[in-house]
Amino acid sequence: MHTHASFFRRPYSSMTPMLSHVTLRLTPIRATLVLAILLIVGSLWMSDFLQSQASNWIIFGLLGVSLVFVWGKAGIFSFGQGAFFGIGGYVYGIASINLVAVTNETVSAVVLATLGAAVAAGLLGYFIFYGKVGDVYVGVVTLASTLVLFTFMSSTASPVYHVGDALLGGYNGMAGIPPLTVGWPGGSPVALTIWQTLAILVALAALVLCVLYALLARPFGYIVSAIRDNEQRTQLLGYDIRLRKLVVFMIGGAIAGLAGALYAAWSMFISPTVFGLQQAALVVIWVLVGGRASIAGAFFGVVFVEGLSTLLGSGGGNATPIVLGVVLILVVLLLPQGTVPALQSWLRPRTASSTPVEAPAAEPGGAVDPRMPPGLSAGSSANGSLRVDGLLKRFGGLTAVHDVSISFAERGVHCLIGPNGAGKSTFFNLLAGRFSPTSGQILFAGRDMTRAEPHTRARAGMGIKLQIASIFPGHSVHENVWLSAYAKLHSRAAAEARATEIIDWLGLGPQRHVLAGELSHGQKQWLEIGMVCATEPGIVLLDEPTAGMTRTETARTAALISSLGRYANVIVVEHDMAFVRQLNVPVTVFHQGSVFASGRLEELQQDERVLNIYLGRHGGQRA
Amino acid sequence: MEHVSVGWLLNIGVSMALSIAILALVSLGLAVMFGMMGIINLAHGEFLMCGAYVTLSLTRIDVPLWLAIPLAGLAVGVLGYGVERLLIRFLYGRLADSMLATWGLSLIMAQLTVLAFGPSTQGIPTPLGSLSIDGYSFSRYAFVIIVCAMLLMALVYLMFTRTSYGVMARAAVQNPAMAAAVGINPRKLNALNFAFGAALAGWAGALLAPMVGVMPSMGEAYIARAFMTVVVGGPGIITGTASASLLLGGIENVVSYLSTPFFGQGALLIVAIIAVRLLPTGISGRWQRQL
Amino acid sequence: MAGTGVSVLELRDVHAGYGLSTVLRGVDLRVGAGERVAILGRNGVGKTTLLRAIVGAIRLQQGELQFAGQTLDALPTHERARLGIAYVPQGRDIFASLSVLDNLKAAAFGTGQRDWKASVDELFAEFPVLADKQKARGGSLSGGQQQILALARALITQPRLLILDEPTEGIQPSIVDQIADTIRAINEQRGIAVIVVEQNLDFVVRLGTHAYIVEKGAIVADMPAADLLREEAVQRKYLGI
Repeated sequence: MHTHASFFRRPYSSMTPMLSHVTLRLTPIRATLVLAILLIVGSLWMSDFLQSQASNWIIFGLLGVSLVFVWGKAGIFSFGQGAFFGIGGYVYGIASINLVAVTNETVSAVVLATLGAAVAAGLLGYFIFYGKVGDVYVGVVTLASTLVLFTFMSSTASPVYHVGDALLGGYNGMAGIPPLTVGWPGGSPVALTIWQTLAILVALAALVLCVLYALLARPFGYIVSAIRDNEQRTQLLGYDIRLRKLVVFMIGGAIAGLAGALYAAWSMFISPTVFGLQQAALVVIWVLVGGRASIAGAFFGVVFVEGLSTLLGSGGGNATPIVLGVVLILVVLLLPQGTVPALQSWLRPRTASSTPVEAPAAEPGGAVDPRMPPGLSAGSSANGSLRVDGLLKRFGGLTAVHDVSISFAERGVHCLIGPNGAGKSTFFNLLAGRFSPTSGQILFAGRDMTRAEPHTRARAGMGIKLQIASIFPGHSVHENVWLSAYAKLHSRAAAEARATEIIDWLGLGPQRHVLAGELSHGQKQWLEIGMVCATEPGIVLLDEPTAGMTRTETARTAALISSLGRYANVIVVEHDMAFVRQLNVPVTVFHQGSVFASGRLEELQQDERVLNIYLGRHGGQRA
Repeated sequence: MEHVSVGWLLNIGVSMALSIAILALVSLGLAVMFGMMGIINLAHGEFLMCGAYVTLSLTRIDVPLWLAIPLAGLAVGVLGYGVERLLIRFLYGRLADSMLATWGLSLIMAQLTVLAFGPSTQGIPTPLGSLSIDGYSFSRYAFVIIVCAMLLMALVYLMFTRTSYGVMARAAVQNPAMAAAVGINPRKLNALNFAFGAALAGWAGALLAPMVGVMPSMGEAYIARAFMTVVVGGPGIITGTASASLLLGGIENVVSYLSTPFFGQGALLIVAIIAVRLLPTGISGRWQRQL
Repeated sequence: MAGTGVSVLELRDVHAGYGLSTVLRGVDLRVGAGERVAILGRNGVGKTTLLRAIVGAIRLQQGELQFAGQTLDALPTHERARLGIAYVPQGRDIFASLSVLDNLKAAAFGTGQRDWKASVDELFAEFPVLADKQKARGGSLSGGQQQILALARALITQPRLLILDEPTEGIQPSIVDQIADTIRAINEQRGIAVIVVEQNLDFVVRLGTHAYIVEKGAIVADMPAADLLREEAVQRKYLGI
């Protein structure tokens, strides 16, 4: 039985800390807390200088974490975390300078700074994710944004530029920022010692990390990593990815803002260089060196890069940039995943996937379960009828689908076949919503789906499986199906149960925890069929499901689809005649964009006209 | 308020043309690399800086400027060829890694230059003096830069349309598998593409050297703007660079004139952000042109 | 015209596929110099995979592949093109944003022809439609014209073997015969061996080829195409639905 706890066992997860094989259940949260306590206690023996340096690195580490969260976990390449860092710093400066006299503390300033950065991230994120800005360009827009801030803040030198008592200071920066102070109005302010500052910083950082780890272990975290793994597939399951990306971006902005506020408090100074190109690039460098998807790696990257710079810099700094540059190049060439993941895999050599991928020799997965496939409703509650009227699709001068009108009854499997260029693939893509028709209508369960977006169709109950398997290769089989089920059921436990049922029905039980990317081609196709079932579809559209499968896999697929067809409407586009024969279902032949003939395969086999069009025989391919 | 005269108009016009030309110059090499190979070369600014320093060194040994500049570009091209063979060729298809590695390269190049030449700004006397129209004084060299920017774009055009390398490169970008099927060797082409892009960066630096100060950090000043120009320009190497330079350079110039150069730069960036949002594939993305 | 005399292409027990899957299971084929050969079979049997193995887009998992006596296995695609294998894939794959002339030049330069001008003039004389449209963008040509361009582009590389994948797909039926005649002429006049993967039996018969039928990744039958036209049973068994 699969319990809640099993959800944490992710093979190859970057969240699993390095020592997990040593002790009992060392989860990321526990590891973080232990390390934090060790550091706080241990730092009592450090020199003042080292304590201060450590504070600096913790702050930078948090900034790196913000990028790891946004980029490594969600796949959003933000080149502008420095913008939110700087906003946090400046807001802290402004707020603390103005407030500390009144409130005797600067904690409120920290809170304001974090909120301010989050709001800024919300605005920018809305601009980016609700427009159709592509991936590379997110990096460009974020970089440009931080440079804009650099430019404008650099030109605020004149005393005219001030907020309350805080002078912005232009290129020279804002000085006289109060350090972290605790107190309350009417009392007296308590300035913290260096060690106390470090301890608070460590505690804060640990808190942030624990919150992130907890968040990532929730459904939200899994959906976010699904977006990184295969954005299109996530969308097709019906998730609103724009909103989730915005939320992730805002969280990342808030963390960067918090780091910025703490930085301003630590150095009692902030200048526009935090918005500059160097700083922007440094954040990326820390994260890449540490391992882009590793939260712990962010700190490692900071310590490594900054530590190296400081170490070499003490000798006059002549060779520092050169050594740093060489190190970067070597990391890229030799450790492309980053240093922390490399260390992890070295310490924990190849824990093999639970079972090796099944060789196709044995009957894969066993006989197909005769019970109803999980996720499909028996009875007429799910309406799966599909009706097409006068569907026409022209591409420039070429008519690919020529006035097709056809109805598919509620239940059962229907095959669409036809020679190359017959229009069946275009027809399928019109049903799936990848193209819009030139004219005509598509009615699904009585609703007009003619021009609906693919994710709208998915939510309405049209389960679509395209030819190339679109799954989440970086997630386990179980997680793949769970993500699909959760999109429909919105309950973690229900989705767990549904996922288990479906995987058993597919016969992929032994591969439950294998990364989907490591499955054989046939297994991937089955997995995707299972994922489609998990969304409780009324109709299932399959485009060449047996492409690339072995003979045995094809036979099993036929059994799976027949089983499916007893409870739902299934439309299959196929080339493989052996497969179509095994299905033994009504067949529609396409030719030159129109329906040429329908019936059972045996009759059509004997039909001379059909043979002509397939062979281009006796002018069979002439219009 | 100055009164509108021929001189005043000419002043505005030349100033704008110069901004646009400089932007086009510093972006062209990056456009070639990004357009032909999808590589983001963060060391582009350092190749530019190299071109300036080679020019400086050549003039110090009494090579005439008009000869030093072309030679400098060629030298940087050779350097680029070497860099591609030793480093870049492992990074195709790895966008983030190519950024990281080229950033590392830029650190190395900048620091080596500091060690060799010292960190301070050095100058090459601006040649050709100035001419006076209607009370306004114009540097003749500004016209040289404007003309050379156009010449370089023409060079890129000729390179890609008239040479065997150019035809093969365009075919390979369009369809690498089919290009191989007609005998085109993709690896050799990549090296030449990178070398060409580096040479263009070198020429930009060489041309700028007599006008701005030559210093090891001069690359940094231009990389961000070049990057923005390439992205806003889109896939068309010449049409994209030209149109983006016109837009961004023009706006930067106008805003700088009306306020300060800082605000001019800020305006450029803001316009870039808006442009990317409105035209996600770049200005030339709709024109479906390779060049 | 069964395989006699000098062979230009030889496959022995070839196994090939994608990743872990094997599509070709023991293909033996011999194409003589100047021969015309057609490969027929249903979709998914491995016809395109066979061509891709010959041009080097995929590596062999097992078996031998020889071109004019030279083992091809380790050679990358562009080297095979320089040796004399010309490939026209499904959909023609002409360089759409290059002009007609540049399409030809790209191929000429790719295979190291310095004297491209003479070859281009020769091809323009043979295919006047290309001469008319030499400055036009490749993508603006009709399907049939693109086919001619793809053929000319293949010819300019001075090949010994011409490989075509479904040349009639997407072509207007009225020019299919024309294409067959053109290819036949190329073969007879220049002595270039031709391998055609097709599903159009009329085309294959008009081209006058020896037909090999592929099923489940291996060759199961072969006979002159004209004979195949008479063999209803064979057609139904291997090529029908």
